[in-house]
Amino acid sequence: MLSAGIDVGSVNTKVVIYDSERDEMVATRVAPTGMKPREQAEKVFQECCAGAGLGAGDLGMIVATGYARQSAGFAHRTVTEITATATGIRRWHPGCRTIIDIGGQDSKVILLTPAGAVQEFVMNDRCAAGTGSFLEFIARALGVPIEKFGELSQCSQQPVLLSSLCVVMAESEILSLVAADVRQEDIIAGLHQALATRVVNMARRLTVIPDVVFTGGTALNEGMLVALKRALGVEVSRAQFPLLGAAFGAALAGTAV
Amino acid sequence: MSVAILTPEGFKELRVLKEKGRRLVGYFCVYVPVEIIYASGALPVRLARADEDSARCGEGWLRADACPFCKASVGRFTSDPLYQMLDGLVMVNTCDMMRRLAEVLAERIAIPLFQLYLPRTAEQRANRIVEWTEQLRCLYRWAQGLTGVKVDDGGATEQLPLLNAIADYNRVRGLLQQLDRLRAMVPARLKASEIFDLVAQCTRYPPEMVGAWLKQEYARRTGGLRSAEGAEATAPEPAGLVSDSRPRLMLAGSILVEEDRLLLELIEEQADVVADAVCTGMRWFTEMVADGEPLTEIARFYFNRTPCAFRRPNTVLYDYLRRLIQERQVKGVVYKTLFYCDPWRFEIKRMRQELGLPVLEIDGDYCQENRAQLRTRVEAFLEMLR
Repeated sequence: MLSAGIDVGSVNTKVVIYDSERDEMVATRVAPTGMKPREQAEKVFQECCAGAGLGAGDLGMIVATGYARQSAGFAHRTVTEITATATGIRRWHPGCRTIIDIGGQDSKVILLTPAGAVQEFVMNDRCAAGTGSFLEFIARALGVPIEKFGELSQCSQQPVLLSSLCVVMAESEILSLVAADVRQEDIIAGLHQALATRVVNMARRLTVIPDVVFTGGTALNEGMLVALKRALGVEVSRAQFPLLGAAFGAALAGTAV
Repeated sequence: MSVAILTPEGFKELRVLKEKGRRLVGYFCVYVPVEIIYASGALPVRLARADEDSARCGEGWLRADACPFCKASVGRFTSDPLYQMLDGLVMVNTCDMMRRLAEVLAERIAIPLFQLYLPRTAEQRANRIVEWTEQLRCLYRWAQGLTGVKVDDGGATEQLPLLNAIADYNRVRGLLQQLDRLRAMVPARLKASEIFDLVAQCTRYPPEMVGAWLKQEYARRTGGLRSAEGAEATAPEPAGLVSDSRPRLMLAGSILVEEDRLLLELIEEQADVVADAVCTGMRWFTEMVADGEPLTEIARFYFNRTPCAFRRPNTVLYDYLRRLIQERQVKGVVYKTLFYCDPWRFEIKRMRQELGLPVLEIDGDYCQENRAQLRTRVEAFLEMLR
């Protein structure tokens, strides 16, 4: 049976079409959500189907997830991104017990039972400082493309210690560092450390159990992965497809019925 | 009557009482002894109203990073007709922020303010209770001064109003306890949001008025089969078979105001909140004042009541939670705190360890903009419990 998972996130909309008989993803698509999640969800979904030569009728089940999951009105049902992410990541990483997900709008830590069900989760969704938006905001202030962050931070010899994690305050702090000729890579590495510390502090509210898997758009950033390992003090692996965890999980949820 | 958010009609009821000469005395915390205010002839009115605007207004007096409830409480004195109708205010030094609130209000409002100092630790020592009882005696005199009721020098004539007040409020608590058991039934015959509504009524209107309402409400819920005050107060017990489709939850945390009922309604779309440990919910009516010398018994009641998280030691709070979890077959805890509410925020770690149940943390203020995120958290928590 074919099922589709659509994750309407704050930054990107992701679609995964999954074939349960062959146990593989037959098509995926990622596109910016933009300001019109309703139209965009439908559009990205159609594009994904068209790319795979499928019509909506070929899909047994369509499951929507993500913060704007309600806007995918054509979906048969919805599931929260917490359950979807847990389901998707666990399928890729069967040994995973802790998921760290840093997305555009929020960050979350999900603890799984040995069997792979959600045991507990904590979320930060009221403050940009613990999210990917924090890095994007600072990237704009620095005039450095966010894609370069991972690579640049790897060159840092001496990451700066940021005293403020409020996005607005951090910006002015960083601008004064720039004015003081502090090397760009040290600033960026410092940012990663600050964000990692923040997320790890949130994770410590639960009990972090290995294997730890890092997912969400921010997991594409190598510098963040390194900072997270250091802050947590345990091995952290990157999700197989950091952008697609929730969409894949939603597609899997569609086959479970 | 089942609307807790103060409607113009409900407001009129209080205005009528006031026009008839009743003094209205406001209070915030469950540690303020309502019996004493009531015995003096005044009406104790619980102040548990807050919204975004009043919180923002209060920031000028407290700080931006102060407890949203305390900020809103300052703001309400300039925007809420209920607060402006008060003739007096009783404060108690519970959490630090309440103390700051008292200091700010003392400067800001024109009505008389009485400050109580609850002993900081809950360990029973004779001198603590004696001192606390003395304070309540002073409160009684203060309230009598406000109402103009003649002060009698001790003796039976002074005790009688106190004894009556105890009986009146105990009756209200008893009725609420019976109604409360209905929400633990399968299926629930009463929602948690309705219990919070009822408590809001009972802490705002005189006991003689709410008693009749509560009885009607009970009769309505039970099909009139039992009288709420019947000799055998055997409310239905929770059934043994618990359906998995509606998880049974307990709510704990900071004060919940009338405007927070949106949260309760969101949870109740898919789950039952069968118990709570909130001061505007079950913790208000879970115990009774015992028989005996009235002032001493009132003092003991407030000293010993199931504590707010700020008190130490607070083992009684955990005993209370564990008992409810067992009796009402609770499967998960929704832990709602206010931003900067240190007492309840700091308790979370211990709560997780002690209760051994999944906990959903919700930290917030009175801003309604994050409805979608709130929904995601609640839904994910329920998906997890199923």
